[in-house]
Amino acid sequence: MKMMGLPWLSALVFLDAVLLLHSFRSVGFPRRVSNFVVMDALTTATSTTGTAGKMSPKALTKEIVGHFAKRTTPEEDEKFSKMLISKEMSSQIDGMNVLTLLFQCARFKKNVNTFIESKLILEKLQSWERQWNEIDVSTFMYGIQSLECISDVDGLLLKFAATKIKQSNAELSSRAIGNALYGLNKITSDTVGVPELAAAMAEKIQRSPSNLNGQDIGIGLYGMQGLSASIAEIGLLIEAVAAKIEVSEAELDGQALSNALYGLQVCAFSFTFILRSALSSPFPLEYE
Amino acid sequence: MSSDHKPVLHLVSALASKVSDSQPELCAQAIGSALFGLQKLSSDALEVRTLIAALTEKVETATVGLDAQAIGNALFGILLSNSYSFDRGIDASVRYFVCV
Repeated sequence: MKMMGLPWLSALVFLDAVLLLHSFRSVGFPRRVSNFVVMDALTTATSTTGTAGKMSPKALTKEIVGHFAKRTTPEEDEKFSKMLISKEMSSQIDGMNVLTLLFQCARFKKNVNTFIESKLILEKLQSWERQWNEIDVSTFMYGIQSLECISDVDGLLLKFAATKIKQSNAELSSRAIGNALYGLNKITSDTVGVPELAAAMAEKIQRSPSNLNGQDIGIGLYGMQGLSASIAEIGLLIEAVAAKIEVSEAELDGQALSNALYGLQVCAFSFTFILRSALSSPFPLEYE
Repeated sequence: MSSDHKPVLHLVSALASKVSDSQPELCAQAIGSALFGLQKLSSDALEVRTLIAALTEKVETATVGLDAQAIGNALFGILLSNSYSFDRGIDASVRYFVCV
């Protein structure tokens, strides 16, 4: 009970703010687990009850982070979804809450539409009148993994995000570029909105003063595995990343090298292509 | 990414330098995944041959054995890449895999 005094509460509020910021900066790539362990423990300790009522945007963000920190069951997710889309709560959700939800869903490999519809996500981001900063850009891009990207609304959402990224004055760090490109790993070039997004990111990467480090080269290119240079905008993105890699002084470790080269493939090849390629190639055991 | 496109060749060229300048410790999975990624690249392009040569050097110095998954991924990537039958640089990699 001694811990419930004012200094302890102030410390928690401060820690929470730092951790929220930190959680966005250390997007969930497997090797950065230690950050999440700390964050999970503290966000669980500071999480509010989850009852729908008047809640500040920050408290709601904390509520969302707290929900995912608990490693929830589908039933708990459904309950949380009902709370989010309740009349009084959905009116309180803002752009930051939506970005947090996208990010957390991507991190825990959940479909964001389990919680809220893409239409609501789009509406909330459209009504969020602020210029996107570096964290907003990389959080949204990373969060794309939690979208199916097959509906018209998802396409509109990607196009809207492309506009916001283009309008943003933010300069992206190496980490932000890596995480942002990693977020594209489940989508292919033919997805509606991807060319616009690629063009916006190409511009951002060109303007970035940061030096790409090895890990970010690896995860960034890994994220581009489904993108084909036959689309002009994606060609621009590939050019921008290539130019960044060229001037980077970083070395690639085994993991980064593997991720980077793995990303050179096109994931959307057809069975006919595989069959034709396999049949037209001599068998490798001819080499002795 | 097909190597028919100029931006891809630019990227491959940048990666070739990076791979050449790096001293990575490659595990079996990393070798398999890296070669798997080459499946759409054609060794008709100098940039691709340079990347393959740089990668071959790293694979040759790796001391790990390959498991079935890594061999499968690697051969799949090499087969589809249209590289191994024309480019001597990749021969060493193929020989390495066959010996394992």
